Amino acid sequence: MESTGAITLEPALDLDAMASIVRELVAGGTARLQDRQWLQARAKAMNLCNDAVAALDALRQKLHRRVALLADDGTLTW
Amino acid sequence: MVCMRRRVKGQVVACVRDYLRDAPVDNAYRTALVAALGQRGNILSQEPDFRWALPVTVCCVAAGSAEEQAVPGAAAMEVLMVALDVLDDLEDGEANPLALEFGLPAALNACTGLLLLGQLILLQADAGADLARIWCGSGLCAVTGQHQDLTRCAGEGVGYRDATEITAAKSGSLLSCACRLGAAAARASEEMQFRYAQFGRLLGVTMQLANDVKAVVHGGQDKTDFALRRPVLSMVYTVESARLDSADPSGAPESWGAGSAEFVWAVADTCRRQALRLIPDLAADESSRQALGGLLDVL
Repeated sequence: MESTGAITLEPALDLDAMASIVRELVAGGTARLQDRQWLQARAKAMNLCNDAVAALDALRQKLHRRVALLADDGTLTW
Repeated sequence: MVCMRRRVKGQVVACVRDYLRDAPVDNAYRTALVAALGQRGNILSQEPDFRWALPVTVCCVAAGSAEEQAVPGAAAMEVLMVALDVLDDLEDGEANPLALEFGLPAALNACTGLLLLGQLILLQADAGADLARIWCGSGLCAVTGQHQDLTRCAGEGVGYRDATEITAAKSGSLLSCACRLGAAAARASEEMQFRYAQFGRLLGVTMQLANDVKAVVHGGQDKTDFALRRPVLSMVYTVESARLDSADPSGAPESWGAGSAEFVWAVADTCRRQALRLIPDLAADESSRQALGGLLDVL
């Protein structure tokens, strides 16, 4: 029989920590989006799992590219 | 891009048509069932997308069997999900073509028939009782998640973890079902079926969160979302943002919180990465691994 739906995320995801980092990331402007070390340090301080760190870094890069695109032609795409 | 062979697609469609033809129903009711199954993208439409058949067949092949072995499970998932999609629209108070054409009571009655038809397809397959048991367990899990989705609100006792578990129950369990049905059709062991179910659950969460990102980025500001404060990650983040930003924490948010889509994307990508790491234990051959990974190309 299936469980009642709790997903098995190993290790358990700290979603509060991820939300906090995303908030700081999007509020920090271009300088923060370029700063991989800042992200690594914040993630380490919050003891995030490797998959979450990799996802946040992928997000950082994605946002950085978007900012670059904005600077060029004013369009904004996700 | 992952795809099914044309011949197997034809077999899935034929399977649904055969059961529909032989079902002990009159023509009027059969017409309603055909109308539901013929809605855009559905299995009897002009251009079916096979979105539920695909994970069943991919997992069946990855578990070591021929694609054809997955046909009953794939057909059943397509039929069952048409019913759940219509019910989801009606429960959300959204317009649904079937209800518009036949009226609400008849649309609901068609959904009942589709749920029975899907189970009939499973029960008459090889190892049918096992397949039906998998569906019933997953289906009950999904409706539990749906109940929570309909009755709970972001911020009112629903935090990030709760929202993720609701998504896992509502959406993760259905993909979990599809993947496990594929493995079961291939006569995989219980342990392997469980692994496929875990993969499917993460796949389902990833896909649902990807949809949620699109809803935030492209969907604008649906007032219903904010009025109902649906217990989804994007809304929990938004409510939390309003709480952090506002002097009046009781005020309902009127727009998505800055970073809402980005947060949901990051969680979805985390789940995607966790699912990817399960793949080496699911399939021995590289082409199957690539096909399983291809299911996760949704972000």
